[in-house]
Amino acid sequence: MAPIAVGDTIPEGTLSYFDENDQLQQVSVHSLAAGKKVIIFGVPGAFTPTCSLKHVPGYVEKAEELKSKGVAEVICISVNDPFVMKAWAKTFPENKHVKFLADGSATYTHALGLELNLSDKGLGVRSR
Amino acid sequence: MAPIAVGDTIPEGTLSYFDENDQLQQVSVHSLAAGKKVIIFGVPGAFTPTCSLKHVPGYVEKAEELKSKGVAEVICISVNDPFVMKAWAKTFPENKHVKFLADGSATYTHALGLELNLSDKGLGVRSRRFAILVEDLKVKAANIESGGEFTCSSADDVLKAL
Repeated sequence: MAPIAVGDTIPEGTLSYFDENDQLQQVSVHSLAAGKKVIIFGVPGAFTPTCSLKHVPGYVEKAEELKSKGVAEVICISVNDPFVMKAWAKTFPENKHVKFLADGSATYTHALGLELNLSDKGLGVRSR
Repeated sequence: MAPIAVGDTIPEGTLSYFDENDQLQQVSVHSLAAGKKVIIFGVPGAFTPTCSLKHVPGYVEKAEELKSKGVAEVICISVNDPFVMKAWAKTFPENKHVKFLADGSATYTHALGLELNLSDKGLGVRSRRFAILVEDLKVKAANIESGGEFTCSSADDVLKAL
């Protein structure tokens, strides 16, 4: 699949997360994004250095500013399971708006054409 | 592959972890276990409730007792990457002896015949919950759970086998 590009319609897909009552929820990407302006950013792995120290914090800090410009959702996706995403999200206690959603089997990442093979680093297929 | 059983020789394999200098290391299972008494216990997933709240803490608490009975290594393996295992290990700050090793592609779990398909829960192929006592590479006790229970693989269960 060619990587997603400007002008494309994002594919539909399902991502998962644990809600405030620790219930596993599945959410449709289109239901989050239809009719709105959203940002989806992908990271190769929860708890990896660049993702944790640089990429995510930028979005946590700028979330208010992004919202003030009309962005309804800021979504972080990674090829990790929802347990790991929940634990990782907790390491950003100051986060108010970024949603951490799990693409556990890399299905949505594949639909976006954005897989990255990190098997030689012991991580398997991840997101670019 | 049939599940590992008492009397079997554990397979050779490679697990990974980050050392104290945050360097990624690969370690051979046989190099850790040859000529020694070791416990290897497996969990379905880092940061999952039973693993984090019950299974691992038992081994962290009983590690000294296990060591006093001649156990040289207490190894926790999971089908997670080493970044996740490192972060998970940090949630047990009182841990002194349990090694958290990553079987990121489930290769060693497969070699043990202990895979568990949790794709319907969004976790993919993982490890069954188990604990094995190994002496000089030979399995002396194999406590393997079926499904999601936690009935025979705790540190207390393994202590009984020592």
